[in-house]
Amino acid sequence: MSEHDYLHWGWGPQYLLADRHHPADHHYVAVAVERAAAVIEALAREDPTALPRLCLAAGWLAPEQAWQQDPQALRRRVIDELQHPSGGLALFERPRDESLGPPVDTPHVDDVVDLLDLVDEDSTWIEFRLQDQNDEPFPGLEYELRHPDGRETTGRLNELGIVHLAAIPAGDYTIRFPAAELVVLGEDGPDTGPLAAYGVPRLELHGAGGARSTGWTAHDDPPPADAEPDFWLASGAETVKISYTIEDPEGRAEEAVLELFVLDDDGDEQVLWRRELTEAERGAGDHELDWNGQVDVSAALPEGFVSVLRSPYTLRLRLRGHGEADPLEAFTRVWVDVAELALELGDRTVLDRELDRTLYDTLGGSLPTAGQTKTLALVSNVFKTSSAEMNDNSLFVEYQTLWGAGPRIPVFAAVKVKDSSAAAVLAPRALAGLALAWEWLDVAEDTSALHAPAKTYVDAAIDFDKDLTEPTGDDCHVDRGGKRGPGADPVFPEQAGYAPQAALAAARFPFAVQRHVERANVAVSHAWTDGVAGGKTGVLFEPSRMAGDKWSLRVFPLRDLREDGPAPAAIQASTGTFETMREVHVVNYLKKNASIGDVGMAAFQGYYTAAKVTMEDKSGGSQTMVEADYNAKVAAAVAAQPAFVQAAIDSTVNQYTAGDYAVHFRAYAAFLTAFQAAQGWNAAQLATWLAGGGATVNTASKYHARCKTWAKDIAVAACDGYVHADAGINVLHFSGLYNLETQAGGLQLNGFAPSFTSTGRTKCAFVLCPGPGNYGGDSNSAEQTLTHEIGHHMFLPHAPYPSGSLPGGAQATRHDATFANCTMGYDYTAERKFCGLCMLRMRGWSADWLFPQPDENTRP
Amino acid sequence: MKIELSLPRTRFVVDEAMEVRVRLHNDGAAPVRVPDPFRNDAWQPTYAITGPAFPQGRRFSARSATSRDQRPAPSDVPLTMVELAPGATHEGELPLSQWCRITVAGAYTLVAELELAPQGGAPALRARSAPLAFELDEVQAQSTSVGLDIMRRGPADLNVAFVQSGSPPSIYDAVITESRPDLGELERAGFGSRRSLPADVSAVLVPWCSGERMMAMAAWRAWISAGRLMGDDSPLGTPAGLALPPGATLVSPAWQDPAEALDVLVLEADARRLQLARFTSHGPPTPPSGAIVWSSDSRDPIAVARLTVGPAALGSPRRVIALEARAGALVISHYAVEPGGSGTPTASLTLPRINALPGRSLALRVTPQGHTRAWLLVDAEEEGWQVYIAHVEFDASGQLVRGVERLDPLVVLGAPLLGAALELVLPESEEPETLVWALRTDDRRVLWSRGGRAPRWYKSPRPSTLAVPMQLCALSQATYLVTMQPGRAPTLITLENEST
Repeated sequence: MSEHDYLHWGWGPQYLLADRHHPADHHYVAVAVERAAAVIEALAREDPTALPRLCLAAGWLAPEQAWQQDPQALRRRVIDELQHPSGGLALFERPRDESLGPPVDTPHVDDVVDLLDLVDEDSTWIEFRLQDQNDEPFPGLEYELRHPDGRETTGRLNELGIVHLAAIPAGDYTIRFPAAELVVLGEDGPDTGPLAAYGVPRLELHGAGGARSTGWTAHDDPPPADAEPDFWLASGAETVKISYTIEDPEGRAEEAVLELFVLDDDGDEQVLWRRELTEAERGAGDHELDWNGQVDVSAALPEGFVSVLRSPYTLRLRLRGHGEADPLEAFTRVWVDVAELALELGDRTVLDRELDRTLYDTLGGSLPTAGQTKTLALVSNVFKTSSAEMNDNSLFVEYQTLWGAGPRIPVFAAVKVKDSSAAAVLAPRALAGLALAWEWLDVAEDTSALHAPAKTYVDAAIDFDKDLTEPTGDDCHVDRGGKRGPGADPVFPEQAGYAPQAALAAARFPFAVQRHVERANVAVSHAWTDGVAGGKTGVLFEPSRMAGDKWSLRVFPLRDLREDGPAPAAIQASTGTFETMREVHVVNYLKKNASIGDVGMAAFQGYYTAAKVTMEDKSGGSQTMVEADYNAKVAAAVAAQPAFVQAAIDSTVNQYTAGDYAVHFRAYAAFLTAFQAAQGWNAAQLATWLAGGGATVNTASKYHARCKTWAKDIAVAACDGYVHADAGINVLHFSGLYNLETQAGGLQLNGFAPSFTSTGRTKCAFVLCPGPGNYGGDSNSAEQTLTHEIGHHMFLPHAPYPSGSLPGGAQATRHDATFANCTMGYDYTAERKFCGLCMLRMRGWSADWLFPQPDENTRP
Repeated sequence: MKIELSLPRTRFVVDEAMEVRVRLHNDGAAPVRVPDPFRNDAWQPTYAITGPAFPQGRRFSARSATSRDQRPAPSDVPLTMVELAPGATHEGELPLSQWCRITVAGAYTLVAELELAPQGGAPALRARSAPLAFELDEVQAQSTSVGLDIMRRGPADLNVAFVQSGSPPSIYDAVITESRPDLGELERAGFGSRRSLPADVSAVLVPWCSGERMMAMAAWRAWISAGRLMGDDSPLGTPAGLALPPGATLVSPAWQDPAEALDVLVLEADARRLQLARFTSHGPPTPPSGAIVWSSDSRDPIAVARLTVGPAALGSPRRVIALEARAGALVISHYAVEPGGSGTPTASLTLPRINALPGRSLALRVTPQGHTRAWLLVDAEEEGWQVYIAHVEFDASGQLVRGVERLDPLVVLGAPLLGAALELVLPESEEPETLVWALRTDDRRVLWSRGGRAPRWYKSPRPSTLAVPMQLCALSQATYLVTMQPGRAPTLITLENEST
């Protein structure tokens, strides 16, 4: 016996249990798997020491363990080893002609084996067999054995027609086969008489709604592996019946085992669950067992339920007993699969940023459905704080600082599973291990509503590696700060998730999400199998912050991911379109009095809407300043001015009722008188001052001009108290800035957008102050002024138009070179609208990658 | 009915603020209603100007000049009428240069015409002034000085003065106002001749001001003529002179304090000694008085020095920082400048292997606590221009409380450095000061940065050049730089808007 041979058995010996990977010599051939179990059963029954010895020889068990092992367990283990190619054990046999010599040609009724021929006098065991002329055994045939001491014992041949007696005293033994003496042998051998057949002819699953699975036995050809599913189980969510029939009139069944297995990639069985039937359950007749898909917890089925991951499953009922069952096994198949995916807006709780929660609240509790577009309104009240910020990339930086990689929207998918009645139900347990693919798609932009030059510019700019990115599309490219293109931040950022629990944790995303290793626009998530979000999974959808970008999402089982999306037949769910917009708030629209007509807010909003900026009017409509309050504010502002400015204001004048303009000044002569008096100067001193520090007001014309500066200072100081507490735009509306603006030297102003004490990065204010005659003769208007000045607050510098009279600080590189009527210029020959470059900057695009000539922005 | 035009003089320079006096006189026997010419919406009278800039003549009205309505007779715009009794006059100034910008030198003629059709029973009105002749000369600025008001918050005035070449040369003053600090937009609030100068004067200083300049009677200018430091407190008065050592130069900026005194730091010819000259105004016609009130000890050659005036609440203390070159090292000395006080530094520290940069490469302030904080641009003593910035601080007693902990690299220039400028934007509270620096590499190019932002290049368009010395005006929201253009007044450009 080599080191790889663990156990010899039978004559010759006839059987050999050895290492599968070290085949026995050429005298032995492998025993078919189907027969191996019967051989081992016989071996165990005939020689209780055999299997412990095998375990010792194979090194599976230590000696003290081997002899204490449950015989049944040992038997199962050995059989498992033999039945699974992964096992290291194999059963070999020597052909009978070599083990037993010439076969008995014809058994005779008085056939008596001369045991003297069989007994090895040096051994303490004996083995004999009976077979017919066709070498077929007589399993179950009763025998009578006379021992050397005269005793007689009876027994039955095993499945192989063999009797093996071990540890018996040496001597003469005589064996007889009484039954054989009574039968007339046919061609098929002796009639086994009282040994009625037993077996498991039927195994099925029955659903509550009447569904039945297809069953088959070892006698049947199994259905093909890709057979159409005919029985689904919503594992953990419903209970079905395991229905089977056992035929066993003589109670030969000694063991019945239900096994659930799948075929691995090599087509080999992988048993995932085993359940021994009780004696009652294996009794003859029809049986039904309740089953909800629960199995043993294992690495393959960690939830302890059959899941979508390994579906389909084959359920097998196997009988073992006295003699070989027929049918030995019955089978049926069960599928666990996704029936339906439904997308929903996830729970607000999971969001950890206030601005995301604010955005969430605008979504109306749902995601866009097919054909529907929902706006992701990114509140972004960010304004310039210095002139330099119009010319550099501060808008991009500040917007990025505010919204980072983008807004975050929790998108959940309820994953429903087919139950036995083919209905879609939530069955969280069935989802263990199921990977879902989340894919975002770039929805093409429709620029047809833009004015022609802007359309040309924007069309050129969004035509940027359109077909070279994954996915293809025209959303803002990563080079301009977007999320389309290589190296972009993920639209579905990875999440650690956490274990299912009874309530969602605040500010933590519940589901684990990983990036797909190959597809830039795909992420993978897994569902919770329990807890408050059982049966759901999700992603944190984080589109770019770029206004104008459009997106749609779809989710489907990862197994169905193909080159261009999900397989056509895949269960999937899709959203409609998300469109990102910026949202800026007009928080305050205050007029000096009701006689001042409202500026056309809708027209102002329209200019910005084209740039994908929603100017949300939260002001509640125009309000008017209150007389006493206004006068108090102006008085306080004047009091803080230098003495010469104070002298220009007559404190007895009611600033509110003096006119619709912001500030009322004294006439020049009165100013000089008042200042001289206030300073206690004589005429010479006044003259000296007018030649010195007061040189800029030494004529009425200069004074009228200078009052513009003073009026702005006073108006800004007075109106600072009107700046709303909320972030956004404040519009303060007067009709005229000051009373002397129409006097010679006076300067009229349509409006100005200064920095107030109370304004800053998140608040801005604009003083709209066109006098009654300021507009006319061209296309300029209060709405245009408002749009222009707020444009400055929105980081936009002047456009270099008209070219013959450039506005101060005009930045040619920050405007479309082909469009002279940009809102940010002073060319009033036609209605001004934002140029394409301004639009894209306000959308959030990086100015560093936008060029004045439209076609410079296209790639390749 | 008569219209008369007049100007205070007949010669101006291009861009100079010109106000033409208009006088309407009813020389008839009956009352006359005439359009008020001193309202911006007056489309009558009209004015016709001819000259090199308008060879075909140009006609304008108050309305057309101040609005975009160019219609000659907008019937929907009512005229504001004034009634003149027989013999009465109605007169005032009109901002001619504001209404009609003239950019070409030469001889011009201006005529006013009043022409109204009969209206509502009123007879037709027609009058024409005699032609008013005047001449515009080209600006030939030799130098420019800009005085800032450091205590001014919000929109600020930039007080500019330059020497106009000529026989004799003269001082021109201008006030440039930040009309839109948020946009860096400037507008001129005044520009005119101040006084004639001796022929040897080529540069004038406008002091910085630590008080409210517009409240002051004195409007100081200072220059060197015939070896004397001249202090001029008013165009109505007479400047006072103060003898200087031969070859002495003025250190910019000079300062005007809230008491209207003028302080000018003077560097002797060998650059080893600093002196402080102080002028006091007595109001014209009395000339100001001046004296050297402080001198430093003799030092190693001083490369850069700067005077500052502290807060009025602290008594407007004067502080001077001087950078001396000593044996390959740079010595930073701090002086508490008091009339008759010690000329010895209160503290000094030495930076080895460092050179000062030419120009106004030193910025300093006195904090409300009386500390002197100084920043300086320096050049590492290695090949090429490797520019660093250093910061030191002295306490109220003048002792060093913060040495140069490290030199922060700014930039390595690939071209020779011709001059540097460093300025501060003072915070309104306890926030850190904003630093603005500029490095000039030739007549037209400057690399600059504000508040730590990435440096940007400004290149002045031809034919303009950067003023010498380079003057950087760092205001609350925008940064301005003085440029010169032949034939035009010095111009302040907004670096934020004009850089690449």
